[in-house]
Amino acid sequence: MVSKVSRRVIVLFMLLAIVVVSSIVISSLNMLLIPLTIEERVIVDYFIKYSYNPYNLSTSTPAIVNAIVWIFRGLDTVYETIVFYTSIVVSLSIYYEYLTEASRDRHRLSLIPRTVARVSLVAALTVGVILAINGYLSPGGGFQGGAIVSALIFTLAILYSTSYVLSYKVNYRQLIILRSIGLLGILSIMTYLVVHTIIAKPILRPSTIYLQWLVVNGHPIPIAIILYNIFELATVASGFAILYLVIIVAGYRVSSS
Amino acid sequence: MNQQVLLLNLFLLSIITNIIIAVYGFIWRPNLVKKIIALTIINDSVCVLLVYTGYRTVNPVPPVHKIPYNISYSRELLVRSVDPLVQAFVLTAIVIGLAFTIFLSVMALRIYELSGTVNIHKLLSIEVFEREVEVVEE
Repeated sequence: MVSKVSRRVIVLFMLLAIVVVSSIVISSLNMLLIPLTIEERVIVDYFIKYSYNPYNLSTSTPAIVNAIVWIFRGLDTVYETIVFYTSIVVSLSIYYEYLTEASRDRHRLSLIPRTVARVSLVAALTVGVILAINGYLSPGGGFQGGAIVSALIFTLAILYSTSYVLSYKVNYRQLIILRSIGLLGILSIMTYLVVHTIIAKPILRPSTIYLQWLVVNGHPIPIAIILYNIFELATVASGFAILYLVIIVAGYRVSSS
Repeated sequence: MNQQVLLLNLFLLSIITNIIIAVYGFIWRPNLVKKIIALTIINDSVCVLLVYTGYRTVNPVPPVHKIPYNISYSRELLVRSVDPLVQAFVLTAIVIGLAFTIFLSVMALRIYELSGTVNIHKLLSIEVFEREVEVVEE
């Protein structure tokens, strides 16, 4: 009888053998398995046409991905942010007792990484904020910038110690307040645009055209997208930071008990 | 033999291999943490696969308009740009997958605190044992 472990290994090797055989077959083909052509992109053509055109009705956002995320399906992104918020609230509700206690102390790293971090963390913070603010005209956005900024807090916790970061740099209450401000900001902009659309009754859906009071070099700047991205940065960065710190403290508690 | 076609096919195949190995780990590994890691690998592989389907082989450009507005470039984007729609979808998928992973990992941590193990066989045996004790007491 074949034992359980060897059966497992046989299954894995059969799967890998299928892959090897199919790679040999593929290398003899001269066609793509998934055809990467530009035929029949009706929806994508619509998004490209109406994302940026100063002489026509458009979202006035040169970065098409940001236009899709915040305008063409803006309500979807708002719900997505709420889902992310809720999942962090659930994890915090389970580990709430750890937040109030003083966390464990750990040894800090040596002088060299701390000195390097003082320079590089400022640069990382700048890159994250610029990615969020400039998200409307270049690849990037609030989520990407927020992930970078939260990684910065995580790096601080590794370099110094978790208790140092918690006692001097950031506070759980501050982070939770920041997240709530971010989510409320996104919701209030969306509510404003929806209400404005219902009052004005245009053909278009809620768009940034109601929030354009800045014109630079002849092209209007979508204020709504910039605000969305900044609030998203606040939500994502503080949410990730809370989560890193909770998991570090909880993991330390579990390993020491 | 077209080298670009071969490389793109091998890239697709490596993504599929990644998914196969992650499915194997998800089904056969008894450790809950390893199951979560495998699930994350599946999620990320599917995201990369989606972005791959939006790629264009002939002269691809990023889906960003030029400032100031250039009508010839905007017409060119219709033909040359990579698919912006799948990128927006993948952004959502990453956020939702992340929320899901947070929830699962916190649950695994809680299970470890309560029962002292994350091995699924041991957890099941604990539950079976408790059920048997209840039957005997009745």
